[in-house]
Amino acid sequence: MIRFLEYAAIFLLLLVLQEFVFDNINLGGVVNPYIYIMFIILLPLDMPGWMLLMLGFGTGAAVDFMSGTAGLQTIASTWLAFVRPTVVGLLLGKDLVYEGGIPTAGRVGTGRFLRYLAVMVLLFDIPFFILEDLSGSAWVITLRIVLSSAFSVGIIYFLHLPFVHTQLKV
Amino acid sequence: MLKLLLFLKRIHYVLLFIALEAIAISVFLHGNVYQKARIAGASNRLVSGIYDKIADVSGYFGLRSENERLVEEIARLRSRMSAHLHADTLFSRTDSVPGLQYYQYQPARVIRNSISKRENYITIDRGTLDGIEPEMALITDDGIVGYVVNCSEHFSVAVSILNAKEFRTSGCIKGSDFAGSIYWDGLSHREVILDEIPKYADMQVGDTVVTTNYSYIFPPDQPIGTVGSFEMVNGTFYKVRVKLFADLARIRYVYAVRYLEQEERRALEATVGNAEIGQQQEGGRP
Repeated sequence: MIRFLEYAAIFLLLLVLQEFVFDNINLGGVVNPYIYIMFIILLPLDMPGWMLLMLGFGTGAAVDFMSGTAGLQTIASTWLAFVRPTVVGLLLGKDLVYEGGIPTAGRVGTGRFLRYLAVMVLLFDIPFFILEDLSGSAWVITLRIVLSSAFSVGIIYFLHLPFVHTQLKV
Repeated sequence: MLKLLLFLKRIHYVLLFIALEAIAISVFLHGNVYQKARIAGASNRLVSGIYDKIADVSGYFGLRSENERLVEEIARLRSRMSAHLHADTLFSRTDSVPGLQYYQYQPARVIRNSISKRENYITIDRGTLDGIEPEMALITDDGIVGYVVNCSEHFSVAVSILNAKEFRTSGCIKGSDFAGSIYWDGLSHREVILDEIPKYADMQVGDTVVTTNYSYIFPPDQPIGTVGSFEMVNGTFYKVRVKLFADLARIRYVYAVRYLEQEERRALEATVGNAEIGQQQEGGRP
């Protein structure tokens, strides 16, 4: 129950940050960081698949509702939740999954965590920016994906630092 | 039967993913501008209310520049008014009462405005209770910025000129009759495109681009921007990059403009089967 409240608080905090701070960032017209996906990235590793999918769907739907991007965020965030177990298995190893807890730089090592974080952010940003601008030119979309992802990775890494030494478990 | 159940259990993860993704994709594909505008905040009182409060506070930091802007505008209006005192009768109608008003202006404050997406919207703090209706234009003294698509009692959401999918209107080079369509290509928030200007048009970099008489929404001769560069496409028409006068990242106050004869004109043009012209003009909107 306590854990549930903690996650709910983190969820709300990320929504507010996304909507009132990061949605207003637009560096050079190409950097639009979507940092709320940190919620999906940091969910406990031993979480059952169906719950992961529902949370991915719910997170995207909440941001969609607040920012008026009908369905767009939900498509990308549900996809991100769907591929997370595979990415975790490949980059963090199966042992961690059995242990549970959240993936942080403190537990898996900074290098490994950054690699996991970068892959997850890219897996979200690639479909998102392509779908957002279906008729756009390829190099602009690529630029947006690369720069926005780099920015998001930096911000999410910074935001996750308070959790580095906590052992959140469901 | 048991095997089937075991099989379903094994692939339930994929099935659930497909089901959730199907819901999201159907919302994404079928959401039209009105639904998106509604989601974007008009009916969402919580988010609009918070933005209202943020605008309250951040408004103080721009008071000085707001004042300077207002003084400039008053000066401009005074000079325009003095011109009207000596104006000839060309623009007034012979059969109408003198001083017939075509457009009604009312001020509104911008409480939410995005420029970072492909489809940007503007939320203002006036709604149906203040007489705001869909299809009213939003302009500043620097030029057009959008038009209202959805209202709640206290707030309205407008399609921003920086909306690559929904915003269309017509524009022309000031002083010439060659008109083209104005839209945003999604790149810079300081530039829009004026497309399909006939190749006979004579223009130079720096010329002013204004709205035309064709619109159901925007008053004529409203400033949009200046010609930044232009290129010939297929040897048939020009594609012009227009530098906007209005900095969409910094708008605080706008005027909501009602075109008083909008309904009458639309009904009349519909009777002669000419409705397509108007529809094309505002991006296929009814």
